[in-house]
Amino acid sequence: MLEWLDLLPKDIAERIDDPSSVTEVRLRAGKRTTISRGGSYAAIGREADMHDLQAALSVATERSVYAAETLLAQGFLTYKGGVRIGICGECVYKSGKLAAYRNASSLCIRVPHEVDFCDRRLERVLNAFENTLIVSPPGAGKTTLLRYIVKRLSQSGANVLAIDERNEISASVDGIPTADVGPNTDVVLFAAKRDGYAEAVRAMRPDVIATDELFGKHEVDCIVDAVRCGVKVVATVHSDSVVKVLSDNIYGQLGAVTRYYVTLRGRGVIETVYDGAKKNCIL
Amino acid sequence: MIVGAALFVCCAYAGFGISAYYRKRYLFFAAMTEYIDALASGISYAKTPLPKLTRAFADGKRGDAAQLLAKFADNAASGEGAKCEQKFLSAFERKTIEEFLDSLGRYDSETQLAELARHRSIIVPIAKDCEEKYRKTGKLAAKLGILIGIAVMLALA
Repeated sequence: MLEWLDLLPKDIAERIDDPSSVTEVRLRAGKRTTISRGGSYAAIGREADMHDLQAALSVATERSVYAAETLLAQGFLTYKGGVRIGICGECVYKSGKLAAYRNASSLCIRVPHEVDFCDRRLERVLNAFENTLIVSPPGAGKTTLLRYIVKRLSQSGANVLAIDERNEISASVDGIPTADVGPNTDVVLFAAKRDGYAEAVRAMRPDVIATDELFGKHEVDCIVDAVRCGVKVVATVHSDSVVKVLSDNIYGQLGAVTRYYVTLRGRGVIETVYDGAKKNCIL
Repeated sequence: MIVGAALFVCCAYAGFGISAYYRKRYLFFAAMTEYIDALASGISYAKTPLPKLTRAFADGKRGDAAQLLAKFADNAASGEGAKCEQKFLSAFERKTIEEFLDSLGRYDSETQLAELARHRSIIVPIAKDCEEKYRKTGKLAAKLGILIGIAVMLALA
């Protein structure tokens, strides 16, 4: 699972001690590369240049930018092992729509890790599963927890449908999940949520839908709609507090359909599990 | 008699050598033109990744172009290109091919197709010229080699 090292210039990759513990690498043109192991960032190696970034993108796309343009237009790429590469650069618009990024100046390479969440509160949620929302700021491990919940629900016999818009949940290679998402999980890859819900709910008849990073009214509407169809949902949303989510004009709608709210303190550490029905935190 | 036979062989060899040179150039550029067309179709519709597309094209084919493209496909997966070192090409032609290969896989499909069309407009005239030269000069050289060889042999007899 260290294929992501191929994305880095050799001299920089060689300077990383214990690469298996790295969770994020940031390559910035004209700046030193920084790495994180789930906490603060440390600078390593020399300054990266535009050529290094271009080479990384070339490796990530197997030198086939045209084949990855749909993802590139959303500002990211995926690589083997569920690695996600966020891209910053000049935006190229075609017919008024963002078509691509060129002259990438920054790359954020995020390396997924599987974590076993040994948490009594989470076990209670999993044992009597209802709609659940995972809330935390970026980088705290939402996707890791989501993947863990998907695996556990799937292992318990539920048919789980993972709408994996960015291939971060299943880390699929050639359509086959490489991350352990359980024996009863179906994965819709790279589909916008609206398509994933509408088509897959009809076609796959899932018990639970799992999806990452809700963003905007349309996606919230999709969740509400799926719940109306009788499907349970586990989803993640970026925020630093449940109160902020519920008081928001758009995301506040989720309050009407969500039973459990899980917040994270850091990678692999659950902060609180709030039961929306009982209006208290599970202890 | 032996000297005559040896000279015949030399002349015929030279004639076939010249013919082979033109044939190689003709086949090389014909294959590159075919490759450009395969790319245009693969990029427009299936959006097949470049290494897979190139390997599918080169597999089962023989010749210098197939060899170069197979090497290019292997290197492309790791983000690198391939150096065109075919000795039967001029420096300008080698540079043209290298620039063409270097342009592949670096753009969105629309720009990539435009780039392909641009390179096609450079490579196709070379391919046509090579075909014409092979048909005229190449085949003639082979025939002339044999004829001159026979003439020399007869003159010495």
